[in-house]
Amino acid sequence: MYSVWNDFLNLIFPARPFCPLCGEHSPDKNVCGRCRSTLDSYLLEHRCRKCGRFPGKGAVLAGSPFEHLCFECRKHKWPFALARAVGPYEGILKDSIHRYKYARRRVLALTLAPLMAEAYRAEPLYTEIGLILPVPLSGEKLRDRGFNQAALLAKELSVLLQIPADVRTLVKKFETPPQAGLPRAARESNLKDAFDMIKAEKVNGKNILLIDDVFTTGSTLSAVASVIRLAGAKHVFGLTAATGRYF
Amino acid sequence: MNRPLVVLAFFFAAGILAGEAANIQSSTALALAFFSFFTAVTGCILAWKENRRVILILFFLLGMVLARIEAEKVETQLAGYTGQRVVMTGRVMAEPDVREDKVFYPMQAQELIKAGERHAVSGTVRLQASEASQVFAYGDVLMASGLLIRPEPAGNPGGFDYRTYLERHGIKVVLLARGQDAVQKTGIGGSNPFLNAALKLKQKLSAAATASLTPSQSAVLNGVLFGTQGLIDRDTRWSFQKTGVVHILSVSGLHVGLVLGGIFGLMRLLRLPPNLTAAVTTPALIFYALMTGLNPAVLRATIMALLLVWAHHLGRERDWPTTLAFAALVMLAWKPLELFSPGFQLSFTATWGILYLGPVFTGTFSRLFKNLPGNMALPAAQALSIPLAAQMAAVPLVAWYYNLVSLVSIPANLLAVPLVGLVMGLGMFAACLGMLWLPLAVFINASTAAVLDLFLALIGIFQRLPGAVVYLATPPLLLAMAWYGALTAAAAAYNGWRPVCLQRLKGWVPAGAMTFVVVLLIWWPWGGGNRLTVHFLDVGQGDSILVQTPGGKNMLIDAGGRPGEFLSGSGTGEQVVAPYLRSIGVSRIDALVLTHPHEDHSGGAVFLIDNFPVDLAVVSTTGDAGNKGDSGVSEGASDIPDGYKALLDKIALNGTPLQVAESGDTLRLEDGVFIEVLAPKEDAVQKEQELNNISLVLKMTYGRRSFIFTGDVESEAQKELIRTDEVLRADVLKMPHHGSRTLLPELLEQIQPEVAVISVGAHNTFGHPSLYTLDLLDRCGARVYRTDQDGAVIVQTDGNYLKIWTGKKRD
Repeated sequence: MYSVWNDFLNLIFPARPFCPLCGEHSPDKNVCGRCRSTLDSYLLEHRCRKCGRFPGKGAVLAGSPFEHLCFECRKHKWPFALARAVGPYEGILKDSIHRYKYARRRVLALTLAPLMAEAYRAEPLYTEIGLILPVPLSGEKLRDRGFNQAALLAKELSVLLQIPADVRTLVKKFETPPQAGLPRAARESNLKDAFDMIKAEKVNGKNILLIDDVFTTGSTLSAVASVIRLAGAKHVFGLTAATGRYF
Repeated sequence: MNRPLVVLAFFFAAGILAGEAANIQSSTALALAFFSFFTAVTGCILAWKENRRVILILFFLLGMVLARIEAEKVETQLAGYTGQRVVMTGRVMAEPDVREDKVFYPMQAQELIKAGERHAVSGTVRLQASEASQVFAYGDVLMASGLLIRPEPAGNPGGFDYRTYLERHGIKVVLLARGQDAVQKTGIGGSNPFLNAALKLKQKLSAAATASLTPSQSAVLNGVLFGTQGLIDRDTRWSFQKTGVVHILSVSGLHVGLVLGGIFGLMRLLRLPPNLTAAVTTPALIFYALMTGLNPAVLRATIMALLLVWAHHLGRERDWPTTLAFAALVMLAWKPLELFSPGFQLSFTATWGILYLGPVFTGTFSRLFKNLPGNMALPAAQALSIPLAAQMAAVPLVAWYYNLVSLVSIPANLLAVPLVGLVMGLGMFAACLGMLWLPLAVFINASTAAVLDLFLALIGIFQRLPGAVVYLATPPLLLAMAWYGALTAAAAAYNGWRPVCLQRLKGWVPAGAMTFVVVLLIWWPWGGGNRLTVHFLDVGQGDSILVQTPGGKNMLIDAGGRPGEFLSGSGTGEQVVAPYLRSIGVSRIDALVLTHPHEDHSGGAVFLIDNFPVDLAVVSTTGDAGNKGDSGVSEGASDIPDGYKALLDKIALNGTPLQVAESGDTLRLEDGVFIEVLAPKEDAVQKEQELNNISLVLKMTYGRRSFIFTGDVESEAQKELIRTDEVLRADVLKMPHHGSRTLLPELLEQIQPEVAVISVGAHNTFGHPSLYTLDLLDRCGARVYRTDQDGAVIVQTDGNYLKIWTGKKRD
């Protein structure tokens, strides 16, 4: 049904022959060659083997890229097993996510989700995922925006990866001040008790793939992941469209 | 192809065209469509590579099926009762169209009583109720007694074809009901509750304007707000037409846009969350569309606006060609024959122009305006480019349907559109308040009236500007197609050809060139330069004959006229003769001949004199009131209508030379065309009592062919004619006096016409043409053409051969 609806939408709002990420002309309506090579270059970059973030300019690197562990992950224990992203939150990805979230171009989920699926497949450590869960929005925010950006990605990924997704199990009970611009400690206390699960039995003993749009400091992802862990999930893995850089 | 819907819409429309042209059974077409549907399904299952072609064919066939079904639906047993007086019961199936002096009801017939017998019937009828003080509503069941007729097709080529117009709306017969008690309400039938609610609300809302404004103001305001058209007088409509702002008068895309903007503003004001936008706008726009009568422009704009809103809501990119195509598909699937309505065509081409050509103009203008202070360059460029783009796209259609192009439409639109926003805002506000308390509406509408007056005054100023409007002949189809081709190519060149497009185009170049050459060969007016054409126009009861010489000179013999036209100046001249002249590209009259002072011959000249340059007016002796002074008018002509005298004064005032002609005079229009005046003789005029008998009689010879135009001469003057030494023999005879009884057989014997044309109105009260005359004509072996049955009769000759065609086919 979902795909019939999408086909219908594609009929009356067909994709234009432009790259969905950068807007340049692209005859096959898909990510254009330049964006493709940018994305591919991210694969060659170093990244933290735990949180998946990319090292920024001046970050000290040692050893082989995949053994690399960022400073944060060395001193901090995350409730999730690991997190990965398509690329750093900058350039085309940042622009696209802005258009996706704030200009409400939901159609971009159809571009971002396949890229995330690629990132998922490139990471051998994702094992036996039993359920995909999106990071929830509070009811107020959902009404305002009209859609949950993470839930749309989760639904698309569910189709692409052939793994069931559940967009209703996780809830955000109240609206918290925006995370953007807050220091780490404030972010964590900000989110304390904000998330909850209904039907906790759904995650029992499963490996969970947690979806969000951006991983900045990891506070949101870890707050949700702890809730899921408490509900009895085995492991929680994170997957986001973009991730931050560390220094 | 990136836009499947655009291609599908084109194929669907082509199917409708084919369905209109081809006369195949809808069942056959349906069977074909089913076959291709199953082929498509099979192809889909088998993932056949060429399946898309099948789907295109399927849409073509679907268009054809729907067009055929619509065409066949018109057929009704009611057609068997035409020309009879009947009593009919039926349900009003849509909003009645209220005019100043009549009301049109689209009626679903249920029962028909004829000579005391009841028959159950079905079919759609247009009930025309005249002199009815009460207007019934949508959904009422009415019983009407009157005359059932089939509407008339166009008499003159290019004229309004009432028959086809109604048939395209599914109506074959019209019931004419006159008098107070001819129409009575007998009950309430089923009605669509939403439509009913919308119409009721509209009635309540428009009541505020009616109560607080003058009739002409409220007619315009209700037209602007709700698309109520019937009460806007013709002059107002015409001046909007001439200034290119007629889209404002009827509800169109602009209005839907303003309503959408109003809803957005209200939502912002009420702080409603943005994700409710689509949910709120959808019912509101649909309701507005229902209220305004679902005309093509509103429907198109509503569908496109809804798609825009939902694209935003669903986070999709909107693609306007697809949106436009989707609107067309929905509308054509609902009413396939709308494809032929001018409103549909104009709305879609203008929108295409705005969306396709608009950006090109905007780009050009904003570069021109880059020196403007502040950020004015872009808004100024857009304000100019939108009306310009719309007009460029619509020009061929406007020329086709209205034979004019407005040169002031861009400035007029620039000024009018903001004013319309103001008028709509104020008017809607007043209408809503008026439902609460009428005096509030009166208060608000005081300012609405001021804005409206300003608006109408501006339109008036623009209309009167010299060169505001240019009249164009109906363009050939080829020219219109070339125009669109050139526009598309120019815009594509401006946007930069994409290599893909070029490559795709290359394959079509030989095919396109072939078609062009073939069409050129068919359409080229081969050797049309040496022909003389005489148009006997269908002006109802009356005469009007246009002679076009090979050199392009135009002589108009009489101008038709309805009772009262001398005084009012509007009637046949304005509505029949002038449009016909314009449609064939006649912009000046080299000679205007008025055979005699009767209104059915000279009435139309009142309008023509004011609206066409006339180089020479030729009149009969008696009418010469101006030159000879009052005493010079012969005593017998005391019954010359005052209107005719006023007309002659007007002609003189305009500086047009007024020439009095009598027998023996000749008129030199052009070498090779000899026009001589055979009657009246001056001495004969003096003793003549009957105005008809002083008619100018002209004989025109071109090569070996001759025409004789006899005005309204009756027996006495005919006797005079026979007595003259002139050679009367002619190939084409304009029958004297609309084919009345007063025809001398001797006259026919002398003329020996090959063709006789009777200019006469259908159902006239004089009994023209008389059977006696028709019988005489039959015996002399002339081919008889009648303008009441044949419409216009057009005779063309190269000096040797006569070619005759008529405006309509005989029933």
